[in-house]
Amino acid sequence: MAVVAHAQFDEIQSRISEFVLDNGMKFIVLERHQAPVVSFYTYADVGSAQEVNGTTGLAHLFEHMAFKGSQKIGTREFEKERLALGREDEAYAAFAAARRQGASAEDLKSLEVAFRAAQAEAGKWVVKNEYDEAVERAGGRGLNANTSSDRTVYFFSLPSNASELWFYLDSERFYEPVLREFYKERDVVMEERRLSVEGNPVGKLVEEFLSVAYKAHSYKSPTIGYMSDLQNLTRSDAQSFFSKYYVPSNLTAVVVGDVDKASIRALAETYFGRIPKKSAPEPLRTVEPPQAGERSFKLRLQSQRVSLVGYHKPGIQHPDNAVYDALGSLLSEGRSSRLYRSLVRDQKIAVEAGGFPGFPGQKYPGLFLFFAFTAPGHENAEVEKALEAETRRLCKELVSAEELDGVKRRARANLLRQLGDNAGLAMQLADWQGLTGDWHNLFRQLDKIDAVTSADVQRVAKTTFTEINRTIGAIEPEQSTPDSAQ
Amino acid sequence: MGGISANAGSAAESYKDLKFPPLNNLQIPQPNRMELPNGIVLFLIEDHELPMVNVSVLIRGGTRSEPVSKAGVADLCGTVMRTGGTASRPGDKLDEELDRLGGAVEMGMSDDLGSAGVSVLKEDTDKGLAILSDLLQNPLFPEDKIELAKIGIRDSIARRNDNPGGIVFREFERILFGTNSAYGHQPEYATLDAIKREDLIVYYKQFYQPENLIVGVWGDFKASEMREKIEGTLGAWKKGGQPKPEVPAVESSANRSGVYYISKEDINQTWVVVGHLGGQRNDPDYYALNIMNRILGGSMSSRMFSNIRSDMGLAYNIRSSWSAGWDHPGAFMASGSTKVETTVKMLAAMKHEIKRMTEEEVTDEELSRAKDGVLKGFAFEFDSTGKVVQRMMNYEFYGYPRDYLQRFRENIEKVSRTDILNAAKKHLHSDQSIQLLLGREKDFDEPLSTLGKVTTVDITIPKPVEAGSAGK
Repeated sequence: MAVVAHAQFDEIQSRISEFVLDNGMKFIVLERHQAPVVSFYTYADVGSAQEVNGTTGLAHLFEHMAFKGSQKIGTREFEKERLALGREDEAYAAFAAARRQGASAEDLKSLEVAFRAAQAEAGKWVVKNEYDEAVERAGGRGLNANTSSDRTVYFFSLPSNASELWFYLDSERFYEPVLREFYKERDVVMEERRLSVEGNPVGKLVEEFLSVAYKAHSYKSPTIGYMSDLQNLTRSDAQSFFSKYYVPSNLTAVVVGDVDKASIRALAETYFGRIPKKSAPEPLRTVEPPQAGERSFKLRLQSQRVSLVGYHKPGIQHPDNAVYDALGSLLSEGRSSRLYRSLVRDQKIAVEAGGFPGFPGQKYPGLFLFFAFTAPGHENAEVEKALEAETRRLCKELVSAEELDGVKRRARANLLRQLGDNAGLAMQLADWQGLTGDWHNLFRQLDKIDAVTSADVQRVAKTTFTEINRTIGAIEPEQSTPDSAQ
Repeated sequence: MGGISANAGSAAESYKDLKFPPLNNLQIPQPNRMELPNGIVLFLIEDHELPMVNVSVLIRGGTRSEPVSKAGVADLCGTVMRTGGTASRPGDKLDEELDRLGGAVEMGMSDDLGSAGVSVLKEDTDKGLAILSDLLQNPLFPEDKIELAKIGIRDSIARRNDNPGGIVFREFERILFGTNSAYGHQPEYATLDAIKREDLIVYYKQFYQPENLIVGVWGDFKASEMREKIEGTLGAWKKGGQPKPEVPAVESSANRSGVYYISKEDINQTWVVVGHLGGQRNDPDYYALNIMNRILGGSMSSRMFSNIRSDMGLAYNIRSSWSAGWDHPGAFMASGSTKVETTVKMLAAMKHEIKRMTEEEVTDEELSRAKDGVLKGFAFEFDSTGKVVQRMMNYEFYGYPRDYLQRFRENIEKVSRTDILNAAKKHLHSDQSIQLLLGREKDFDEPLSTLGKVTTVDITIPKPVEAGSAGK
């Protein structure tokens, strides 16, 4: 069988160039001239895994703060604002200390009033949402950002004649950001936590799952942060986090679209060259020790049943990474996949089931995670048993050449489909560069998947899908829920 | 080409100083449109960037056309047309074949229409077209796949109250359109149990005919060759002769205004939705309302985002939308979720913003920013061939002129501050609206009764009929 799309993947790589600024910041540029638009994607090699107990949620909160502007954007007069921000921080510190020390209600009230007043004073210098407005006015699209355990990313797209605007805006936010409206944004993030975890059964399940599957490594903590930590984060916490982790050598920017690489380089030097070189932060020290026995838990919630089963696995740099990707594809890609056939079609115990590697991240050893939405009238135990049967099957029988060929062909076809989208390409190039140190691996992974044999699949299944390596978590419906059908 | 300003080499002091060169010549792909003898309307565009072929099909009908007593039959039809395959292509074999090829042929169902799609590598074009054509013309509807699909829908019924966001938007639409209406009804265990294989066939025969199809193809092919291929496959489908489905009417929601409450004890946020019936995309006021909504709550620099999120810190997800329908009125909605203790405060803030929009003109700055947001980014409307084709198909489906996008652009350019105020006064109502709250009333900052008469909505899922007694 001819190798799918080889020519396309070679051709596109010929349109990708890269350079590194003196300060260590890396740029990757892919020229694609189908339409006069360009997508930008900045990858900061810092995620919630970098956090420590007491300041969880900081990476994500900083991400929010990165939209608040800089010394030039979002302020009426920074020199005056700086002083007002200092006073706001002092007033907050006094209020927070008094609360911690159990001050009287009266004292607390007056300190709170003083804090709110200082907050309002600082607010007078703010030009609200100037960053967002600048992008909107230029006809920008898709302005957003995202934080995970592994990394923080910032992105938007512009008509290509306005490219310089991205250089201006994004260099400002990493050159001299000003973390204005900090305490208000902290409130917003608390609402986000209530929305995505506390009011969301699957969100609760996932948060609990990670804290059970991980004991030592910071993958155990939620990216959104614990509520008590959020309530105590300060502006200076965020400032320190920024200074330590947002060094230029930790940043990669990817530009995909209707641009020419020489102009991009010139703009990069002009704008991002302003950021002084700084030493890289220390790498993470803690390694999750091997799991010594199966772990499991149940949550009783006002929700139907959901099952999660996770097995520890190495990170993306491991030579077996492609085998794990192949396993995910065999198990859950398409209606002829193992899990669909067994759990959904034949046994009808789940309406949807899948398994995939790399949760919650891939930079450090993560989990191969199975999930299933248990069908009405069936138990999670049935689903867990069926999942175990499928993993046992992978350990005992070699997968057929046909199935493996399908995995390989799908991997190529899927990547091919993505070549026609600037924003998606920018994200992929950034992720592979950020996680593996070489964007070429986006394409080389296909060769690695092509090289996977049935013996590889069996070997990796045997070492991974073992009882002592397993964590099981599930949602069980609360007993007396009048509005759920049993 | 990425622009370099006159200040090449030195960073601009302010982004406002940046001068951008004119935008490159915008190439707007033009699909060929043709009508086949059997009534299919076909759009084709060549795109040789990638060796892939894509097909999109729209079919008149949708869930709005199903009998309410058989709610779920449209979904079942759409699902089983794919999973059940045909006599010569049984579903399971088809699944294997497509997975091995790395291709996809899918079918779906939404409010206004049924859909189908193909995405294959160029070398599998003929296979993909043959499969699509066979599935559309000769569905088998086997009982085992119908039962499997029913399990899926039963599961979604069972789960429909698990997430507050899911509950609140669903119930808002049911109040807005009416629970037994074409747009507001939902499947229940009883309606599912009542559906037999014959019902799927009746639905299929009524709507799945070439006269009701719009087909779009884009990718790596020669247009003349593709046209022949389509004529040879879908073009051979005989006309069905069924009448074109009617567009169900939407009755006014004015008499359903008021405060509604859904109790949910296990969350510490309240979901708030304020809204009412909106309009259509071909209303003369649509353009002013589109810009109005961007300013009100439709972007990160909007009033609601700026005031209720950034300033008051009350919600992460505050927004508003003016979702005008293509051929029926859509909804205006402002929504967000806030901690229990600031429920009524946020509701008041939302209503305040809506009211303000009907009382004062927006500023010049707000107007120009919103218009720039739409107009400066116009190149994005054409940044993929698929987008262009599917837009043309949409206009065809809903009877809009082919140059609707150009007209839209021109009309947006013309929108003035007075236009927005007039449109807001006419179409936006903060008091005559549906105010829906989902949460734990006992912990609200103020009791609901302070808002007036409150209707409690019971979302208890009607139980299934006892197993064994469902007629077979």
